[in-house]
Amino acid sequence: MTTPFERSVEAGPQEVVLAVGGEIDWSNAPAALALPEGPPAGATVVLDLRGVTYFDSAALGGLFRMDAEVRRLGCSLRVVIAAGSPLPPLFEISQVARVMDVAVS
Amino acid sequence: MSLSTRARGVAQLCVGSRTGRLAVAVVAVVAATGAAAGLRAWTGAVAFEPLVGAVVLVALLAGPGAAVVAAVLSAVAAVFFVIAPVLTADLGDAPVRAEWITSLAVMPLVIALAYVVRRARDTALRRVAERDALRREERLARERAAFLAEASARLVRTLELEPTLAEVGHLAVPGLADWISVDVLEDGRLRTLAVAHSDPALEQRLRDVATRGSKDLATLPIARAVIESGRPLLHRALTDALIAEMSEDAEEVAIGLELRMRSLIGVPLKAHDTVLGLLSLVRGESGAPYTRDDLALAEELGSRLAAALENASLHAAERAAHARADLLRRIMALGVRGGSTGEVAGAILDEAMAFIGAAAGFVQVLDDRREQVRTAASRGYPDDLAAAYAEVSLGEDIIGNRVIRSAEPYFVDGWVENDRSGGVRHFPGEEESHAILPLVSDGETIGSIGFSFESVRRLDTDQRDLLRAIADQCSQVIRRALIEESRQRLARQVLTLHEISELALRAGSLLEFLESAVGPLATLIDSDSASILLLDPQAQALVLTASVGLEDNAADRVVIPLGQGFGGRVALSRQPLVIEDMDGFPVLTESMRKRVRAIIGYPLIARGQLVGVMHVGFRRPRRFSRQEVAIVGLAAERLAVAVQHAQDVQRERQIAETLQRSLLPQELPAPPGWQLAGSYEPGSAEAQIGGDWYDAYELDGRRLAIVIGDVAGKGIDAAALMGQLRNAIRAYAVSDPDPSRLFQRMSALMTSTRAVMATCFYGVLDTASGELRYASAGHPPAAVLRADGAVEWLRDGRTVPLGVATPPLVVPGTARLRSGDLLALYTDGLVERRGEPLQVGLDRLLAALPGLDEKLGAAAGRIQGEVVPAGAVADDRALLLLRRVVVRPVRLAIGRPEDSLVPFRNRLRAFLREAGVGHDDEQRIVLTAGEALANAVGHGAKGPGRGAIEVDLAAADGEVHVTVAGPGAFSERGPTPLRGRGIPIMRHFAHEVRIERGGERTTVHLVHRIGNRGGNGR
Repeated sequence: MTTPFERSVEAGPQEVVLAVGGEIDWSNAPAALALPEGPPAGATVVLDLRGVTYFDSAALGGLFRMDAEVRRLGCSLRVVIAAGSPLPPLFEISQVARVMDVAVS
Repeated sequence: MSLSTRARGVAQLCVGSRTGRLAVAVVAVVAATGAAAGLRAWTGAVAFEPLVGAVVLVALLAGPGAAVVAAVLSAVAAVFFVIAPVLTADLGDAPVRAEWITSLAVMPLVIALAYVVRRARDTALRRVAERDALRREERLARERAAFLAEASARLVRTLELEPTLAEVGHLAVPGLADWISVDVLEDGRLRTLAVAHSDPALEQRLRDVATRGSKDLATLPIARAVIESGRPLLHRALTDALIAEMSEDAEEVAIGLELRMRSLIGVPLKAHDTVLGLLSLVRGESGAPYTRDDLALAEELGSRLAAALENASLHAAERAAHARADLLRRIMALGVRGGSTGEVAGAILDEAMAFIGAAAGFVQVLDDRREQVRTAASRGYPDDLAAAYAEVSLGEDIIGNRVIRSAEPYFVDGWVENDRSGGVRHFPGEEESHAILPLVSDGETIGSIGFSFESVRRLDTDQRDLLRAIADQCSQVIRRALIEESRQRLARQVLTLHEISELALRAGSLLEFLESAVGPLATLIDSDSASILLLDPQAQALVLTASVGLEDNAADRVVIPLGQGFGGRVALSRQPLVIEDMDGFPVLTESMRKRVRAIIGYPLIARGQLVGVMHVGFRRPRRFSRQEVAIVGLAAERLAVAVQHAQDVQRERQIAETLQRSLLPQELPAPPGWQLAGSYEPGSAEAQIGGDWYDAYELDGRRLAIVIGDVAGKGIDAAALMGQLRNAIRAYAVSDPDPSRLFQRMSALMTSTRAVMATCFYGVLDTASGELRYASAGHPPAAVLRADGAVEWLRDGRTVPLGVATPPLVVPGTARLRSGDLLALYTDGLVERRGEPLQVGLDRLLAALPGLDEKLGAAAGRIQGEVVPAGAVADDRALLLLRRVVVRPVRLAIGRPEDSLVPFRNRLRAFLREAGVGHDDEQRIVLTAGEALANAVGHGAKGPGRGAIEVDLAAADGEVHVTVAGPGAFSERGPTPLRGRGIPIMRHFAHEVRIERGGERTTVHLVHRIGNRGGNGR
């Protein structure tokens, strides 16, 4: 049994919003951070991680994988994280912002 | 009687009188003539010798006078019977003639001779007689003098007159009298003081007569004559008629007659021209009638008796005066001794009744409204009679009331139908008399005192005077007792009033106050009930708030609308209402109807505001004195003020408490690894909030300021000042947390704002190291209870209280707090108790401090309750507890890793929370621990010992240790974008990462210092 998580996708013509919540660890990271089907080229994939309460290095790996995937599809990834969540320090030390567009809200 | 004596008696008889002497002469001459004639006839010789002899004999025996008669007779007889025959025969016989002539010549010679002899004898005899008489007189005089002296001596010495008089009487009997009697004059009557008689039997009878009582002088004419004239009386010869006149007492007359009284002397006993009595001397037939000498002697005796009588009467008067003075003094003393009016009056009656011989007595006292007369004490009357007079209205027309109204004494000789008991007699006997006198003090009649006698008694002036004196004294004593009683009552009432005010100050709440005050209120004038109703302004009604003596209680929510019932009327009129008989008054509650017949009600008005109504009630109708109404009014005033004060205080207290609580930190910081709890209790009694406060706040990520202080003063001002100080300390501490400089700046601030003094303990805690730097401005030392139970007092860094002077810089004290250590900051209210050494309070606090198992928040509340006994007067008090947490190490065994991840993280979070780890640290530690576990799982999955993963969690002294031991090797390759980021993350977020590989297992140690934001390099 993998760690439960929340995930929702809102697909629009220009933008696909993927919201993930809960604890994301190595057991559920592949599922939680799987790229939704077929975003049109040039679209922006918005990964909303504001509902995440735990994010480990495996999840981080999943994020990098998604980023590579998005780039491969010719889209761009925009990651939104919550200020008080565990993610900003993790993103900081992993220098995620150097690779992706990260917004802290 | 011998013959010679008889002869001498006869001779005496013969010569004792002139006739006798002449007879002797005649007989002698006749005999001599016979002899001469016989001789002549027989011998024929003329012999004159017998005749001569006869004359000589007569001269000798009967004196010269008789001898001359005898000589003449002899001469004649000689001529006729001797010489005549001779003349016829030998008339001229010379020898015969010569003999006759010789005889004739001899006779005068003999007579002369006899005369001479006789004269000489008479002279001699007279001399002897004179001498004897003189001796006798001397003896008599001596005897009388001795008698008088003896009598005087006894009379002078005596204090007991009557026995002495009896002795003197016996001295006089029988010499001076056969019957002697001394009587004293008393109000026109004679009373026999002493009587003596030569015959003991008669004396007894006389004494019996005397004991029958005094005799009216009018019935004793002779005695009366003597007494009225003041002159002595001498009766030499009494007749039976006179004796019968002497007395109207038949027995006495009989004795008088029996005595054959012959002479009597009556001497008035006069002293200073006042006749005091009568001395009577009676001599019977046995003695000579009284002479002037006897009278003189009797007068002498009389004057001595009079002196003695006077002395005795003076003595008796003095004694009586003494006794009276003594009685009055005793009565006075009763007043001094004190006691209730009833007790004092009773004691006075006991004394006075015994003294004057009254059978019953009473004292009645007028009430202060001068309307009711009540019996203060009653003695000796039948119960029904006493009950009938126990309390009467002065208006009633009875004798006692008349005496009080007129202030005139009333003396009744004989029976008087008493006004109230329908002809019931005072005593079973037929005879009675009464005296009722007003009790007047300072010109005001305060009551009456009465005495009843079981006989008809005409009280003489003296006795009436005595009764007046008793009444006078009684008035003063009763007045004093009444004053004392009312003074005591007043004192008690004042005390009660005071108590009510005191209760107002002491009580915690208004309700508590009223419930405690209603009892004393009822005792104020000894009422049967008391009630306090408070106004509910919204409802326009009174609410029964506290009550005694009625069945109602506050729980019943008795509500009286304004204007209705008794209380409602008082409230509406805002005037006191006094009802002496509630019969027919429309009351609202059943209990008032049943239990209150007389009532005094007052509105409670303070500062012109009606706050309620109070009333005191009695089960029976009764009169109320002005004083009683007034004192209830005073109580009402105080109650009103107290109620308003209590309401004010309640309001102020609420404001101050709200203010205080708003100024105290709502939530204390919770630095990781530390627990903080504070508590504050306002003072219990004075309804005054003090200026105690505590505070704790984080200065930066790793420093925590903790403060506790006490502003001098109470109430809203102190609370407000406390708020200022608290904020100032906050501000100063942020800019410069150094305790020493902080105190200097605070003191300067307080001096400049003229704020009052405050004590303060201030410390800065390094939450990571546990080091505390502290200083105390006159505040009691903080306590450190170590994890092992040892106690330390933080006594360093002390300086003067803030606001006193600018304190010199002090070297702050330091202490290090380790896991499990507890720091306790408190204010003096928590440890100080009146009359108890401070150490006792400190010890008590130490004993109350919580162990490691107790939650601090609960402990802070518990200690407040424990160290201050319930109901004690207590100052306000603040407590701040700081504990460095200690958490039991936890070992977790991870089974199927994919199933264990969430439970593991939750368990870890719980552990961290228990260890007091803050949110950021928690996320950090959860992350690193998760990475360590993930690694173990990841590698273990490839290695042989799959599944056997153990995690150890430990927290102490600001560090959290996470140890993950699992099978297999641990990769430490550098991060790639996709994986291998675990170890860098761990290294970044933990302060220490140690990876130990031993055999087939790898152990990862993670050390986190909590309270710090970053790990290495931050």
